[in-house]
Amino acid sequence: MDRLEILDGIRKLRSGEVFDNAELAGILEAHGCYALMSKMPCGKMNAAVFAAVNNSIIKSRFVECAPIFDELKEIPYAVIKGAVLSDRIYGSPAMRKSGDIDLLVAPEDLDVVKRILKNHGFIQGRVSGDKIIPYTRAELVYQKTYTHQAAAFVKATDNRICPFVNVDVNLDIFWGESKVHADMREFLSHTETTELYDVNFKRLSPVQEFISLCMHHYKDLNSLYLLAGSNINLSLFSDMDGYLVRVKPDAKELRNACDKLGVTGYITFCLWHTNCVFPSEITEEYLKIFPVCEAEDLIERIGLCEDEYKTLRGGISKRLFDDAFAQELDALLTESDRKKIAVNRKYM
Amino acid sequence: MIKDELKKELSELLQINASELADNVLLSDIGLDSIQFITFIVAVEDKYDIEIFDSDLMYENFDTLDKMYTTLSKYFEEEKKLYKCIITDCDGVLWRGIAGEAGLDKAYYDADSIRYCELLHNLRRRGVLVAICSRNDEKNIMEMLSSNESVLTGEDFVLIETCVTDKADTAAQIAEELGIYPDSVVFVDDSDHELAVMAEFLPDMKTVKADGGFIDEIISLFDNIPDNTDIDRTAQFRQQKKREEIHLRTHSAEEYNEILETVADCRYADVNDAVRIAELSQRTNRFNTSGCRYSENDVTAMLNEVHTSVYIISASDKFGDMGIVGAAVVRDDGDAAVIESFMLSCRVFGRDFETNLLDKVIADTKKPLRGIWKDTGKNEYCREFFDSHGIAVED
Repeated sequence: MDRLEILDGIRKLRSGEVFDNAELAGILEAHGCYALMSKMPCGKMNAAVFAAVNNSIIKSRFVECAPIFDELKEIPYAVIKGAVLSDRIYGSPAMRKSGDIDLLVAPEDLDVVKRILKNHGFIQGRVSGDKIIPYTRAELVYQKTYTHQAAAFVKATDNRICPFVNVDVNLDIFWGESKVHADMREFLSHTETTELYDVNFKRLSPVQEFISLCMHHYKDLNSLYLLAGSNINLSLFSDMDGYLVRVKPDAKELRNACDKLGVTGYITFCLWHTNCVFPSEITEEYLKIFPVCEAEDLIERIGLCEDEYKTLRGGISKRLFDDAFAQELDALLTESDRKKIAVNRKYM
Repeated sequence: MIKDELKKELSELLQINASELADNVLLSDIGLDSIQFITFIVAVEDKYDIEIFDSDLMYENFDTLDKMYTTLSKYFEEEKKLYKCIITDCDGVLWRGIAGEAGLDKAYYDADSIRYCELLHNLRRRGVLVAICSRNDEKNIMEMLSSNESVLTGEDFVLIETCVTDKADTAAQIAEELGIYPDSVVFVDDSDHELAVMAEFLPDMKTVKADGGFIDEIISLFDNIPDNTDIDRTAQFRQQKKREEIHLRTHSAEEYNEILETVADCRYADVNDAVRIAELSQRTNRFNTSGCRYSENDVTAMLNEVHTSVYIISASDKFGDMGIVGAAVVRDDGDAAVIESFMLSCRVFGRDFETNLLDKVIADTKKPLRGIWKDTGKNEYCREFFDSHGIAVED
């Protein structure tokens, strides 16, 4: 299937048309789009198996972190991405690939979060085989200084389904390269208490959750480090489209919040490209409040900071499904880009 | 000194002469890229045995030499002697002239004496105990302190002692009454004779001659006392005296605590306790098992360490809230755990709080425990503490 055929197929699935295409089912699985895959008779079984296994693992993770959520009450925080988004967008916590629990906290509260996680047996390290290897000091320093997260926390459990629980602590909605930072205490003042698997925790209110989602996906769509050697992922657009359809965050409130945070251009980018992949009257209503003319400089740009910006023409489907995309991007990388990618790979 | 040291580190790392660099030059412009930055941070941490907090690890805190100094300077504060008390003379020091005299010797306040009194008032507010040691009599002293011109009142002084013999004895008694060592006291007098006697018979006590620039000297001696403390030690001392009167009438710690309606709480420390724990480690001598002195940064770093647990005990009774009165630092040592430091405020001796805190440590630690005891010359009081509770002792 060429990229236009793929696009045509996924749009039909989204609109409710039922048909079978094993190649398309395989592409959807590779992109982690299990909700779309489940709409196809040939993909339904695999999607269900994925969801069932994923559900057990995610449940174990949340149950293990329940006492942590309880202690986190003393600071502003929210659980983001992963199962929380899946539940909101797809009606089940297990329809998205997720390897960890993501927390969003203010940087000034990181010490408190670290203490709580440490008291519950977490260390900052990576899993290697059946062991946890603590991060070196250099890795910890790099990840804190140059990314929007602290180095990941991990804990071994006795649970065979979920032998390790990973917790990522995110400190900003902007990426590490950004010279702009959000007022996270203010951002995190918009939360609501919710529950999954009988575990109570806080999540962001819809407007802030959508902003957080788009900013994360904008980063994934533009980071040279993440894109080097691979295409962009369809699930990013499936998420954003699904959120608008199911949750319908208040458009004016969304615009006000974006303007206040200085992220309007990035949200416009996400809305524009989501509409390109999944044209929708709902998304077009949002684009009336987020006109693309206000973000023209971003639309065909790739890169997360001034030193990295490049222009990439040819539409979003090229970045999604074209095998030549990786080579085309590679040809645009400078020596400085390659060095930065190498440093990221060394310390992440 | 820190600036020179950091410039030397940078010079070695970047193979440049950093000593000639302007403080506001962008370090990325002279070659400090991300790898070099990480190498630099790790090298500085290793060399100076510090750990930079996550909250400081933002590139914009290090992108010029100026910002680097500002960010790192707090990790290099030199340990300074902590004075807990100032004993002051009155005549010629707190005021000019002699209290109770008339004519040319009549006592009065001038600009310098008022400045000194304001300093003492400020020190008292910051938790320093202020006492008087004078050859005048108390009636005359109180008359001066009650006058309209006086910045200070009798309430500002934890003790007012008059003497007819040498002041060294009286100063030593004041220190003992307050439960502090003489080397934690600053003695201020305008008499060369008094100061000479102090130097001879109480050499551990710091003396300051009340002449010329003595106020600035006192300011510098106490500049390591935080300005934002909310502990009124003078009031604490008075409360403690009331407790001690009751203690004399009781026969056991249990009875004492019961009469005082004591409430004690043992728990894990959190970042909000770091200031007080650091202060406790700096101030406790008699019940400080290893003599470890921690800064606020040290304590905060320990709270973030995977293999370290910090416990505190706080207490209150019918005379008031005593806040955190004890702390323990426990490090995981593989098959065992080591109590690196165990400290207790002398104000709560005889109330078994040390046992309460140790019981909490034992209950939480699922491994064999050892305790470090090092002779500091001042902690004989707690020499047998670990042994008497069945904890193996490590030197």
